[in-house]
Amino acid sequence: MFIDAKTCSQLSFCADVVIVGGGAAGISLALSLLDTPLSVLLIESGNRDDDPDVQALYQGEVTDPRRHSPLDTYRQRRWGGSTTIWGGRCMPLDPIDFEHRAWADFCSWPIGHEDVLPYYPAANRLCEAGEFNYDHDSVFPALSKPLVSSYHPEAFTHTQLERFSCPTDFGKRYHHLFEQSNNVTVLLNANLTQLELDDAQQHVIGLAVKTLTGKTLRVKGSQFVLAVGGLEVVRILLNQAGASGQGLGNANDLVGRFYMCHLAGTIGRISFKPGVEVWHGYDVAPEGVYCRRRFALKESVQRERKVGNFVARLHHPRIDDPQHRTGILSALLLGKYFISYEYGKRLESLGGVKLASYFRHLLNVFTDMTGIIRFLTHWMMKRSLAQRKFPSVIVRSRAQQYSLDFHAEQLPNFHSRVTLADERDALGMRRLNVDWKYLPQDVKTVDVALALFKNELEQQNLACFDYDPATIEAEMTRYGAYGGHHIGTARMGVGPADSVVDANCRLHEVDNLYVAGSAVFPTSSQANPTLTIVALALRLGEHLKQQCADRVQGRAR
Amino acid sequence: MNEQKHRVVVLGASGYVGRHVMRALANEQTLAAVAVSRRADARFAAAEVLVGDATDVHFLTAAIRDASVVVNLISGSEEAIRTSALALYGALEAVRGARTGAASVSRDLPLVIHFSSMAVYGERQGLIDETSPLTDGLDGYARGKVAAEKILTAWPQTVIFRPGCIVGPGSPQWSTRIVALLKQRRLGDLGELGDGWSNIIDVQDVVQTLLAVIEQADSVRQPAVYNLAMPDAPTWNDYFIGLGVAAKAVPIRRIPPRVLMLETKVFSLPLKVIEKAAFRLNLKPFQSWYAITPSLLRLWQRRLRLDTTALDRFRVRWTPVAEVLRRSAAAPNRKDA
Repeated sequence: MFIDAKTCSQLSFCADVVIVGGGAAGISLALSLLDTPLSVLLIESGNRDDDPDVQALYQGEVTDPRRHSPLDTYRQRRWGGSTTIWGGRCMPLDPIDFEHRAWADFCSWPIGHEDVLPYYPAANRLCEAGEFNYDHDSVFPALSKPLVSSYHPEAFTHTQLERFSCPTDFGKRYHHLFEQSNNVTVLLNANLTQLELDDAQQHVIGLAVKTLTGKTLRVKGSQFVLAVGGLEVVRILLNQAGASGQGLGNANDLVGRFYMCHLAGTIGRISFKPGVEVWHGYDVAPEGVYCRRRFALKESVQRERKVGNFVARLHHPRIDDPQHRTGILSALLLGKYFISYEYGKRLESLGGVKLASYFRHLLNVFTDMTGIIRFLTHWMMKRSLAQRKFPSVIVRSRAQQYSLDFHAEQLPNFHSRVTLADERDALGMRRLNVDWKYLPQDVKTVDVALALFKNELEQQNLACFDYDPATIEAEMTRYGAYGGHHIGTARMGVGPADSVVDANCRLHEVDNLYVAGSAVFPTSSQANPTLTIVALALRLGEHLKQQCADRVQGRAR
Repeated sequence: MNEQKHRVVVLGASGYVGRHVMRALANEQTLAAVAVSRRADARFAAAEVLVGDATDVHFLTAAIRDASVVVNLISGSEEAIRTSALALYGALEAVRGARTGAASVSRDLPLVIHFSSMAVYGERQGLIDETSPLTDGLDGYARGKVAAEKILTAWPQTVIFRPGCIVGPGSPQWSTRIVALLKQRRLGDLGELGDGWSNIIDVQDVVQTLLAVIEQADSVRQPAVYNLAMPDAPTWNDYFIGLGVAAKAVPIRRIPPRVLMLETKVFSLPLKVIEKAAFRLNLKPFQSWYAITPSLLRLWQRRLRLDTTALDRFRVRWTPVAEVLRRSAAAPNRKDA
């Protein structure tokens, strides 16, 4: 059932489980509690559609705008959350991501890969990414297209897949299940402004919820979950005094620290030798899901070279270099102002097009009209009109030239931080300031991985990989922190000295307040976070069901 | 006729479930299977066949006179279901009268195992157990099933099964038809329109459950009702995707809602006419052009989940989902079809 907080006459609500936030984490958690004896209230700030006034609540400050996108981009404050704009790439975290890595500080989870693994298949289903199988050879046993023919990887694996969601807008996709539900109520246009705690500040009694029209509602509950995203959770916790007086859960000054994204970039020119076959596009799994192979740095190499996790894919040549002679790439560059911020940012960062280049790009467009028409037809049929959308621009290079698109782990950095700014939003809550920082070790990860990749391609006489090692840091920060992945700000750990939440995602300081989302990841992995966000939300759902069952049993005794 | 064997009379033995039941009974050493069928050409291995009308009380009375168990698999229209249940009840009463007056008064009265349907729950959603009241305002088939249940629960030794969708090799409704639609790429991943619970059950699990009930026949002293579905039955989407992969109807297509609307609102009626004509005229190429009717689409969205915990007492070893999909996708052999 959906209720609009702005128009409803009811001013107080009560539920066994109260979830704040209707994005990937909140919706997945609520779905795991559907049709159970528990009463569940999901509070969502936005509505079904985009509302600029609601979205403006996300605005905040960025210490260095070159390094981090504005805080109201890549995040959507509405029903469905950021799944309304995500790209759909799904992949699980690797076992090494959970391990204690002695060569890097703060790399340790209180749970292992095996604790999350049971929840990945269901997470895959919710993301509509097909079967939980990320091994190319077992998904495509008969597919003969090699990623790079005759390539025998040593430092990398090339059989790992990434799978793509539709991309599924969780709000739209699962809306009907909540509409029909008897035990889950969704309260829209409702903004959490205050957590009401007991005298000892160790137990949440209720929430104060406000609408942008000035109405206040009260919510009581037994268990509370903040599923508001990796940045907003910091804002909510720090806007509370908590027992320490410096923010809820923040007695040890850890809330908002270790803020990680991913380090991504496109670098160099890979020129494959004649006769080397390359397939860098998508394959379709039997379930109809788009899949793509990538090069992943082996765990043994990560340990040996003391670097973070790293994956890379072959990419079309640099778009701003008209020598690619590809009409659609030139058209994309010339039309970059018509592409949304989140997807056009990479093109934006290339800067303005010089006059000479401009004409050469125009020439590319006019001489490759058939290529453009073919691309646009495919794009319209397989993306614009399709329910399951072709995931990204794939352009085959006639000259056998590619660049390398990489996605690397950012290691936890104590000084990469999200704090409160002085300015307040329309509801009176202080906004955020983001001071994102990376470590020299992060540059080393990319540096080592690229050198190994170059070495393998060239030693096996497959290609020349030209890039300037001196430009690695500039390339990996060209777009700043990889947008949309907000990780580690309420990290999971064994105790309050090293973390904000415990292995069950419960605040160490408060006995009935949980955090769902990538804020709890102690490390960022190479993987996009959504699939693991969903898996951990389902795991939290199991825990909450068990907690409630234990409580009922306790009462019966 | 072996006097030691208990006679199990199967009404509607020529149907899909009936044939599987007959085959299983043929392998039971202590049971003598008797098939009741309207079809004069009905043949079953190691079984007596009685050809006749299951709505005829006199015929039925004779058919079940010495029966230990009567399995009622009669389906069809509301009228057919209701009248056959009335006839069966009449025959049971006649048998009771005969046995009371005879020397064999101490013999147990026949156990009736009646196959109803989850349709009796109407449009209800959520987890439904057998205590859930039956609803009014149902379609003809469901009304017939409700009426039959009411009639037959007046008989004390009755077990009623409310099965979900029975799948298996050659299951015309839920395997053959679905595989054909998947291969035609008219069915696939339906998104939110396929989120309903399938409540499927493999026909071999239906038969195993039935045999378990027969084994415990002596303990039935009052009417008992059981939902019948596999405990971890998937959603329709998961069933379609899994079945499509198993049947190699890949890659599975994501079907947009607008396409399904066209199927149900524009093509369904003419296709239904073609389907019926093709079967009547034995035009094989057209027989697989099944209609996707509005009621099918409603079923695929329905969030009714049969609670099957009551079946635990029969200790049936459920066929795993992967095996169910493999069996359902397999081309039926002559016995199954």
